[in-house]
Amino acid sequence: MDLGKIGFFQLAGTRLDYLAQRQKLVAENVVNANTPDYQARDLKSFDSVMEGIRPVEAARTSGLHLVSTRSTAGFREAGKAALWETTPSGNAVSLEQEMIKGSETRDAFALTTSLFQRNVQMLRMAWRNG
Amino acid sequence: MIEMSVGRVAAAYAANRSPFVGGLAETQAAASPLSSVGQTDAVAASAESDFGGFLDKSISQAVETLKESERVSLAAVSGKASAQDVVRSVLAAEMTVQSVVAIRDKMVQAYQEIMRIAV
Repeated sequence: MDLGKIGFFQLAGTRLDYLAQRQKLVAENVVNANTPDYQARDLKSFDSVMEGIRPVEAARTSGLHLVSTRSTAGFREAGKAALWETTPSGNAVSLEQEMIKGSETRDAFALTTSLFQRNVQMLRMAWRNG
Repeated sequence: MIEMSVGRVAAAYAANRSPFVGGLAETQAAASPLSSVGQTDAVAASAESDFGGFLDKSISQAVETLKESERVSLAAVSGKASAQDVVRSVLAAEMTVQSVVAIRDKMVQAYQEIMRIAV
């Protein structure tokens, strides 16, 4: 059974991937909260994914071309994330901002998973034996 | 959710039956306590639609509810719908699916019962 063939599940799956990636970036930012010259990174908004904008990839026109080492499933990173403050050492990670982003991500994740579950439940209900 | 009033269904059903049996059904409906609630609806219903039409309308209403719920869910997943909207529409869709499934089960059950009758 491939749930990805149903529109809603496909979108929900993409959204969950996006949120996981964003959470990873937030964690990286927090880890580097004291690294000099490190700038906080963030993903582009989910709208750009919705509009079908995918990351640019090199086309392989011959079998001799090297395969890209970057993951193809990634989402676009925002070129210039909105930074709140920069310390004298050049570090531009604001822990408060990361906390906000983290809780946003968590809320969206919970909403998406519960919607996913509800829809699966409805499907299950429909094909249950009477 | 499917809008359903027992009086309406009974009236629509009775209107679709033959005159003799219909008269019987009407006297039964008058005797039941539910009839006082659905009497005014019942007259209107028998005038405007038969049982099949009623089912048709309910089913298309149910499909509409599900579509609305899917639309709101998609908006919520992309972060554009308010939580209360999502809860309301998803719960409505769930109730609709439950009622449709219940009615379907009853119909299949009735069919099987009829098929079991020894002629």
